[in-house]
Amino acid sequence: MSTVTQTETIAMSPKPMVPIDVEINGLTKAYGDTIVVDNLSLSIAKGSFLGLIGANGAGKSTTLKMLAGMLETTRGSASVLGTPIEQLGPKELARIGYVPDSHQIYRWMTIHEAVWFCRRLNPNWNDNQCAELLKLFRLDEKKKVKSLSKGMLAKLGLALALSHEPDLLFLDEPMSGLDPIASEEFLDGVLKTVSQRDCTVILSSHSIDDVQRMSDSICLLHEGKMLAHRQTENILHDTKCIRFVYDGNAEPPTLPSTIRSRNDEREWLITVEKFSPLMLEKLASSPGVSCVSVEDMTLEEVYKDYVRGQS
Amino acid sequence: MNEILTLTWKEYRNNIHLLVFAISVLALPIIWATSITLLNARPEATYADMLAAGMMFGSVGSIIFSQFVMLCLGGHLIAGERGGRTFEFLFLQPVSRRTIALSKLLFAFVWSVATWLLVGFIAFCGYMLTNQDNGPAFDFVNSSFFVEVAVVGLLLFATSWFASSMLNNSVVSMCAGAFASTCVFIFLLLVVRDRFEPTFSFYEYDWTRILIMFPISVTAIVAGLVRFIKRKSP
Repeated sequence: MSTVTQTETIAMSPKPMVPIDVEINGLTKAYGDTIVVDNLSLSIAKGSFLGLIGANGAGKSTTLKMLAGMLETTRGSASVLGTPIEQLGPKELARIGYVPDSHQIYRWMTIHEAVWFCRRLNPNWNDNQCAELLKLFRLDEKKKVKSLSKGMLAKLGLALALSHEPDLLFLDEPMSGLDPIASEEFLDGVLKTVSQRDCTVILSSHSIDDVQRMSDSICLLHEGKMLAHRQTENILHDTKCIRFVYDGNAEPPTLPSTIRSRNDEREWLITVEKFSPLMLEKLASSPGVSCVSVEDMTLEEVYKDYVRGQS
Repeated sequence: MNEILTLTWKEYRNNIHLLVFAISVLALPIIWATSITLLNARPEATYADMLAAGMMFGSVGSIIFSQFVMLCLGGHLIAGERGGRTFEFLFLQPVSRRTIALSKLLFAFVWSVATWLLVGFIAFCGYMLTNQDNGPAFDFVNSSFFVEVAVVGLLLFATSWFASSMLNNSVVSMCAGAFASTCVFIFLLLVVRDRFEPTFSFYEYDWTRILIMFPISVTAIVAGLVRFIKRKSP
């Protein structure tokens, strides 16, 4: 059973001619003996939308926090907008937007005060954009932050993060706990703003559907390790589940780029990362193999097979 | 400058509950002292005398109690935000850690100077009302002890500020600051007195303690500042 290696992932990163907004090389974060992010390497091209998918504790938030300069790295290096993350200063932060999972805006502030506060600190603040977003999200400026629901707070966080027109936007599970309507409105707000500008976005989420809908490429994380980083359409097009019946006495035939292999008595299911019709021909001609078929997979199934294939 | 003023405004709003507490701490002793004086005054005393005595005695209590507020402020400024996770929001704004720390210190400086001046003003007004010796309160207003109490406030603030730069809980920071300050006081009373001034008495007003506490306080503030700037995580 094989998994996608770091080398393969790097080879899949955008061509050198495309400007790179985020470059990560062997990024590692450990707390004592516990490794939270393990040797992560990837590149994100300018203007692209990357979805980070992973279970709780997969290292998504830690990665984003390191990239935003809020956490020290243990090993490895990364650069954001051409600046190493250790050297991120106010100038670079003015070009970065960050929406965390729990919005810790000062609770005593009114929305008007929160906007005023961020506006005074951000040199690139766009009043029109802010007004538009507040209107889109139906946020009443007189309301206090502490009186906002989780969904409204997430929208305020997004409005504040987008109003200074960032070149790079980190969305760290911003929709966790939101109802489907609030979640959709949130994503619409992101899409509306991002589509107007050449903004690079990294979205981490548990909601695989949302990530699939939004992202150009997807990075699957599990226990701090990157399992795959591929274009969204490629991952769905290339990853297939092959079903066959095996009556032989020996081990069943193996397939290249297998992610996960399991069986229920005679029936075998093998998920392969890079499917080709030749695999089917080869498998069908193997002794003891019959009833070979191939099935498309959803992104959720792909993710689950990647994770389960690890154990 | 714009950033520092904005962040100082944020500090003011963020610590407004502490400010209300501080005003109560300042006002109550003066009110108590004035009331007690008015109730127990000699028949021949004028109202001006009674009020003056209350203001002067009360200001002694106010300035001493306000040291506790300085301890709370020092412990709360950094650890309070870290505990409440509001630093995550603040650190994402395009301002340097140094600017954030300086705005906190500016707020604390304005607060402490305002407290000190206000209490001094009340005591001075009391003194001006009668222009005569009213006993210990009069001595206090006229002495270096008035300055020393302010430096004790600075020391309490500095130690809890330094603790606050390392810890995530403001109450623990205050306790750590109080413990560290107590150690400095014991050092002053036991070691410094015997080594440098054999005839030194705690009850005598002297500049030696001020000259020792002040550099310790400044060192603790700078150390806390550096620690805050260097610490990467919010």
